[in-house]
Parts: sequence; structure tokens; C-alpha cells
Amino acid sequence: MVERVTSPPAGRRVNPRTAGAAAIGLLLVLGAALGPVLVPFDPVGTDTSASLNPPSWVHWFGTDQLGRDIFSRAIAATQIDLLTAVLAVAASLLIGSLLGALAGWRGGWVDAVVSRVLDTIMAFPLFVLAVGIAAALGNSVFSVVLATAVVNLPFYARQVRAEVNRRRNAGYVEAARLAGIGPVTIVAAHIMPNLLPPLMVQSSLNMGWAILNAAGLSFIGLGIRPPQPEWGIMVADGASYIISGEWWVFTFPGLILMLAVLGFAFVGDALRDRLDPRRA
Amino acid sequence: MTKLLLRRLLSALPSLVGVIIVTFILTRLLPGDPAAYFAGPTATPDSIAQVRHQLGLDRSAFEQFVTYVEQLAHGDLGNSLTSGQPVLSDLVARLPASLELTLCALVMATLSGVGLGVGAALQPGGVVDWICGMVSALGQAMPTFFLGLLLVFVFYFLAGWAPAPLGRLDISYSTPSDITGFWLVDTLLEGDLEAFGGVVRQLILPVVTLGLFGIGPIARMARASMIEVLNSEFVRTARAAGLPRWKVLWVYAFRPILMPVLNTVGMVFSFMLGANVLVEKVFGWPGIGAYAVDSVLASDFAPIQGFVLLMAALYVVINLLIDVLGVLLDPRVKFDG
Repeated sequence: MVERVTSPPAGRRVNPRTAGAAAIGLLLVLGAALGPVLVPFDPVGTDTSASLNPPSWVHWFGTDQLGRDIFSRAIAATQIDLLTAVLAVAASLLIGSLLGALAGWRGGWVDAVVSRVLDTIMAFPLFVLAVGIAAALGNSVFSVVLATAVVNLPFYARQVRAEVNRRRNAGYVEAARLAGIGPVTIVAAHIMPNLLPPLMVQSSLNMGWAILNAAGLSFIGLGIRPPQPEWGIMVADGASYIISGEWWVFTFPGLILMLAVLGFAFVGDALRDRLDPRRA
Repeated sequence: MTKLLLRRLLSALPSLVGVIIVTFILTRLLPGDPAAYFAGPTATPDSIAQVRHQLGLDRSAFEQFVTYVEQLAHGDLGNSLTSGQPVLSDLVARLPASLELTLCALVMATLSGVGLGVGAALQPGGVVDWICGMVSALGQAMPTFFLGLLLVFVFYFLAGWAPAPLGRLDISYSTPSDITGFWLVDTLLEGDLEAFGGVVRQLILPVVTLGLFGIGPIARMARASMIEVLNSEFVRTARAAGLPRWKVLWVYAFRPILMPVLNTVGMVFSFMLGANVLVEKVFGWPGIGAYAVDSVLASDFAPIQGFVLLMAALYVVINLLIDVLGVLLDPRVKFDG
């Protein structure tokens, strides 16, 4: 039961931003899938005779203090950065939707409890809570995923709660109920499909933020541990060499991180234009 | 009015209680045995058991929570293993540095955001509108810590215009005495203009770093509300009555956009409290964010917990202030719990 079907007008020109975003997205997925195999050097292989070399034809992005090839490391890092972001967004989307649907459908005390919990999460500055959770859980990919997922949860849960609540007594829901369909099926098969477009837009916009959050956590030494190549760690490594002029160590990983975030922001914008024209 | 304010104050209580519960849960998430952790690496089974009893970890979760709340009520946030000081006094000593940085960044973001947004609304599709869009996109995608390092590289290393990113004031100046803790104010109170200039120079880069990504949301909100207001009937009437352009814009049209902009400023402030952690690390800023980072690196959990609690409390207070300001700006606003 979908309320409206929007199809793009025929022959519409592809927005250059959308094309750019699609290209970045494709590169990221390729980098994550094939990067570790394709890169010219071992991302964790050290070579002290070649430490802190500036960019050259051999080392495109130069080498870091341990002589590791920054290009290889930056590409290999795509995997872990993308993976944490995807897992975190998927977790908040899934758990947030479940909580929101439960609260919106049942109302009453369930709603009150869920809403209070969400309010409490929202009472923290997001990154501060993420730091607290990641610090408490210890250094692992899992703790970064969980920290990012928890601070994001309220955005999904609130949206789903409001929409389910609004549709609870809609005509088609009444009809389904009269037809003897159970509440779980009504919510999952009759109400949720209507929420998918805005949720997809939200997730995509959220991906960039999740990557920034994960990179920020590892920048301050939480979560993912060196020598694992990760953009935030690589930028942190490079920070010590700015004063002596070795600019390439922090610049390239930072630029790739920025490009990835920008790519997801543009994909989100494009998706919103297509799927959710009311808010475009 | 007073009644409204009291009601709003009371409505902030559940948030505070929630915040305290969450920070309590966070300590219980600590990996492994917290007693072994707090007893240190050289602990024997006996000393671990002793620490466990000392920390009250052998009692029920509820009893422990009650103790935790009692300690909080006495301002006891535990001791920092690294500095050996009570966490509370460490935090209090470092708070002014963080606040000075954050407030300067907030002012900068608000002024430039409102300016850009209003400029963009006056001529949608114009140059200012384009700049507004670019700054928003950049602020959204630019990792705070990367921007900070980039600015240090360009303005300190290459151009040599900025001072070394090492704290609040270069050592060649005499440190102002802590009157307010805000060195911009303290140096002026002491009449030390040279040191004031030094403080300003030291502040510029971190403030720009922290402020840049706040500009986007504020500018977008100012732009959207201004476009709406400019199309409204009272503005048309004011124009038709022949009022000067500046008066229509800054007196009549400006006031209705204050509310939505103020709410966005509150949201931006929350982001800034988080981003502070990263910016302070980049610029060697001796605030509570850098304190939290150092504690993370030393696996010292009590300061991190105190930091999270203090930040959340600050955020609750700021939200309260913004609501109060909202009532003062727009008497139609009624608190809805």
C-alpha cells in the first residue's frame, strides 16, 4: 500500500552533482571491495629506509613516518571506514524503526518509556556521548559501531514513531485490521513501506555523518587501533609532522575522508529530490 | 512569566536525571573487572578485593546508583589517575578555556550565518546565495580536525601569520591572572593590550575551525525564514507604506526570523560542544575537551565520565537559556513541557 508513486520526468538531465556523487560512491565501493588487493604496497608493511618521503611516481601520496605507502593505506582504509558507517547506520535504522513503530503503534506507557529514553540520548551533545560510550566499551570496531548507532537512534525512532502514530487509524489500516490481519503484519507490510523513502534519504545523509563520527573517534585514539589503516588515525599520525613541513602525511587521508563524506551528502540530496519531493 | 520559567526549569529535571543514569550505566560497561582496572596493573587478588569493596562493587546495582548520586550531590566525581587531582577541580580549572573558545566560535558562526543567510534571501540565486551554499556544503563535509590541521599548515607553517598551535597564549607574554578565566576579558581588565592581542591571535584559527561548520545550518535557517518573511503581507504593507528599505529589513522582517535562528544556534552549540574535543586536541588548547582526550589515551575513566556529565549538564542549561530567550523575544511562545 504505497500512497504515492513518483517517477522522474522522462528525459530529465542528470544533475552534475548527482553524477559526481555516483562516481564517488562507485569509487568508494570499489576501494572497499578490491582496494586491499589492488594497492601497490602492503598497507601495514613498514620500510624505515623510505620514511617520510614526499609524493613521487613510486609513492603517489608519499610515505609516513614508518615508511608505509600512504596511497595504499588511504585506499585500504576505505574498507574499515565504510564498514563501520554502514553497520552503524543499519543498526540505528533497524533498531530505531522497531522502537519507533512499537511506540507509535502501542502508544500509552510504551510510548512514554521509549520517548523518555530517546529524549535522554538527545540531551547529550552527540559526539560527547559517542566518546563516552566508545571509551567505556574499549577499543574495537564494535564499540565505534555501537557508539555511532546509539547517538543516531533517536532520529530514526522519532520519525518512525510520528509517522506510525499518524497512520494508526488511517482508512487502509482500519481495512487491514477488519480483514483480520495481525498488528505486526499491518505495521511491517502496510505502514512501513510508506516510510521507506524518507528513511532511505535519512540513512544516506547519515552515512557521511557516521563516517565523520568514526574517524573523529579514532582521531582522538578511541575505537580502531593502529596499525590498522583508518583515515582518522592517519590524519592524527600526520598531525605531528605539520610543523616540520611533511604536509602529505595528513593531507591525503583527510582529503579522501572529505570526498567520501561529500559523496554521501550529494547522494542523500539526490535521493531526496527523487523520493521525497515535498521536502526538496 | 515567572510561573512559565519555573515550569520550564522543572521540565529540565527529567533530562538531568536521564543524563545521570546514562553516565552511571557507562561506568558499568567498562570492559573487564572495574575493580582490577582501578586497582592498577600491580594489583594482587587481595588488593583487588579491597578496591572492589571500597568502590562498593560488591553491592547491588541500585545501592551503587544511590551512592553514585550521593557522591554527585557532594560534587565528588572521583579522582583522575593521571593528574592525581579530584576530577571536579580539574574540570572547573579547564572549563573557562573551553567556554571562551566555544562562545567565540558560536558568536562568529551566528553573525556570519545570519549575514550570509539574509544576504542570500535578498537575492536567491545570486552571488551571496552561492557562497552560502558552498560554505554549507563545505562545513557539512569537512572533518573538523582536518580543517584545523589544514589551517595550521597554511597559516602557521606556510604563511607564518598565525602563532604556533600550542595553547591559549604564547609563552613570551605574561599569563593574565584568573579573574574571570576568560583571558580576552582578563587581559583587558589588567590593561595588558599586548597580551590581549596575543590571546586574540591564538584564538583566531581554533575559532574559525570550530565556527565554520556552524555557519551552514544557521545560514540555511536564516535564509529560509527570511524568504518566507519577505513574502508575507506585513512586509508588503511596510514597503507599500514607503518605509526605508533598511528599516523594513532589519526592524520588521528581522524580528520574526530570530526565533527559528535561535533554535538553530542551540543545535549548533550542541555540535560545538562535541567538536570542541577535536579542535582542542589539534590546537593544544588546555580545555576540558583536551583533558578528556588525554584521559582517553591514559585509559583514565573517571575524568571521561565527569566530562560527559558536565557537557550534558551544560547542554541542558543552554537549552533552558534558549527557551527563556525565546519567551523574551516572542511573547506568544508557550512552553509545552
